[in-house]
This record gives sequence, C-alpha cells and structure tokens, in this order.
Amino acid sequence: MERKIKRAAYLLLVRRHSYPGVREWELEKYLGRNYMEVLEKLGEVLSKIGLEIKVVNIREGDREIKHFIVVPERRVKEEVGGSIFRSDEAAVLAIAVSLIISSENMKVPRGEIIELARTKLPEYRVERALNKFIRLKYLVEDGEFIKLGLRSFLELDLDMLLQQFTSSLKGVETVSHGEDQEES
Amino acid sequence: MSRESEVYGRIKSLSKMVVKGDVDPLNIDISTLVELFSKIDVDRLPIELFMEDVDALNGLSLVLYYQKETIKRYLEGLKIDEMIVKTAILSLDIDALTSVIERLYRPPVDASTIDNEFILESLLHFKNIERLRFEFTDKPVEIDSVDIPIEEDIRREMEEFHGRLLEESGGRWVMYRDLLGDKPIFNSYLISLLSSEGYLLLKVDRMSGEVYVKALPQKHDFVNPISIPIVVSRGGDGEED
Repeated sequence: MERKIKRAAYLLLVRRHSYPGVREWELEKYLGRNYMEVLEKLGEVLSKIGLEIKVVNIREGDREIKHFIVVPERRVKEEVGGSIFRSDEAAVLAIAVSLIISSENMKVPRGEIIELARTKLPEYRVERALNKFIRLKYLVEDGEFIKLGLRSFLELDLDMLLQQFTSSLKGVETVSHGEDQEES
Repeated sequence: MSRESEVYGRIKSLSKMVVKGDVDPLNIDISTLVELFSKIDVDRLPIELFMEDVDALNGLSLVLYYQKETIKRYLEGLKIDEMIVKTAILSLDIDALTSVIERLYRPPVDASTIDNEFILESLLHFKNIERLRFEFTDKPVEIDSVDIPIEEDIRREMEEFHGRLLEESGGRWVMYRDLLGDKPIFNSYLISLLSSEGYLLLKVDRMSGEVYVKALPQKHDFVNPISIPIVVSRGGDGEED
C-alpha cells in the first residue's frame, strides 16, 4: 500500500501532461482497481499539510471523465488569498463564468458577455481579457459562443460561485464581511 | 413534402435548436414527438426516407440527452437563474467581481520537472523534425530527419560535452557556431539542455548577432527556466522553430 501511495502522490503532484493532475484511467493503470482506497490514504497524508484531492467531472464528447487534482484546502486558500489574475481581468472572468453556468447548455454568445462586461469596463479591455482567458484555456470558443475551458473546471470552485449567486448581492457582502470578522 | 418527411424535419430542427442553446430542452414535450415518431410505419417507409428516419431518431435522442443534463444540473444545484446572475453582476462593482474570482480560485498543486525521460522524449521530437534545410553555417543540407540515436545516455553526453568545453575554453566565452562541430543538431541540443540546467551561460552580441557560450565549472544557482529559441529556417510550411 505504501508503494501505491507514493506512486499516487507522484501521479497527482508531478505534471506529466499539458494539464495538471491525473485522469481515472491512469489511476486504474498504475494503482489498480482499488485506486480510491489509495487516494483516501494519500488524502489523509495531504490533509496534514493543508492540501486535498479534488475530483472534477469533465465532459469530452459523449463521455464523462473523472479528473483528479491536488488543491489547497479552501480554508487555507482563503487565509492566504489572492489569485494570478489582474483585477479587471478577473472581473471579466467572473462575468463570463457566471453567465455560462447560468445558461442553457453551458455556453453563452460572446456578444452577451461583452455587453454585460461593458457596463463595468471599456470594451477593448473586455475583449483583451476574453482573448487572454481563451488563450489560457479558462474559456473555449465554440463558433460565436463561449464555453468553460478545462482550466476553469480544474482551478475554479464552481460550486462556490453558485452559492454566491444564489444569495442576493447583500448576501454576498454579508458573507464577505462575516468571514473577515471571523478572521480578525 | 410527405407527412413523414415533415415530422422528421420538425424533430431535426428542434434538436438543432436545443444543441445550439436556442431552446430550453425542458420546454419540449418529448412525448408528443415520440408519439408522432411511433405513428410512422417504418415497414412502408420509402427507401429515400430511411436516412431521415435515422437522423430524426438521433435528433430525438439528443433532445432527451439535453433534457437529462438540464435536470441533472438543476438537481445538483448547478443551475441558477440567469436573471439572478445578471442582476447580481450589474449590482457588483469591479472589486466585488474580482473578489468573487479570488474566492473561487484554488490552483492545482503540481511540480513541473525535467527528468531523463523528458529529455529523451524531447530528443525524439527533435530527431523527427523533418524538412530541415539549413544549418547554422547557412550551408543547405537535405535531411529528412536528424540521425541521433536516442538509446544513448544523454546525461553522459551532456557531461562529456560540458567537461570538454570547460577544458578547451578555459572558462572563456567561445562562439556558439564553433561548438557545433560535425554534429550541429546534436551539439546545439546539448548546449540548450546544459544552459537550461545552469552549466552554461549564453550571450548575444546585438551588433553582430553572434551568440557566445561560456562553460561554468559549477552549476549556476539560477537555472533559467525559459528555453532559448534559436531560429532555424524551415522549408515547407514556412514556420520557424
């Protein structure tokens, strides 16, 4: 078992593809059919240093693929904070991701995103940010539509976005202030 | 147009609208479509309508699939009302929207490494580059692939090259093109790897365009993580590598 845990840690932590993490078939190949048991044990080890294993279901064609990655625990991430995005670009990504998630078939016309984002930022900056996120694979172009890219599924906590938007604006602010108070 | 063809056309156009996202799949009464479909007597269907029948059946299954996915998303709580989202977006300022993404962002933890296997894979890729027409000496060559045996130990080759260069140059800058010798592709590959690992320094004389290399006796603390691209003209598709 110990050998398998080490192998699982290598598969999950050392990048071997263009994307981070590992897919279900690889875990089956290198760890055997009881790979979930191995991941649970590895999860126990990782939790001691504030990390956890996240499972993301990715749709590829008509198949759904389980993708496993290691991420910082939500609490740890919130304590440290920050992201790799510039403020205005992050706002455009927030708008795009929210619209896509609330849309039918998880895709939105590019024009719709621009129209809404234009209420916050000049159009050229919105366009530039959108193109950047498409290049970085957070978003994907599908004709005139924009869909979520692999990196959005892997790197963004989409469940949490839903929680935020199902609250009202005041609710979102309350959550934010409430946590600040708790931390201070 | 026959009745059957009309039914098929209707189903196909509806399924296309669902796939494009123009119609909410849950607004489609699938039972009516199934009923219409089941009324068609396939045994008496003209042969020219067979393909339409198959396409319509496929369309029907697509509508069902999207209905299933939509219900699944509702049940999983992954479906939120578009109007709520738009209202929230309009009410939030840039900072609030930014903080939404900051809260959502949980970067994957991973380590990018260069190991022997990676180096061998790169070499294999390098070896298979075709239609290379010019060497750095500007002498045209005609080779379909670069003949480098990948079985040999690249690490050993790198160490030998580094040791030789250190000894011959005495720690001085030497011209890059002089180091290429009779194996320009292989040697340029070794130089690239050694510089990436911090065993060589590279500099470019901006006036002459000449590239110089200096061997370091010890591995430099700072390892340049960025590969240095060296432009080689390639025939065919007009790309540069």
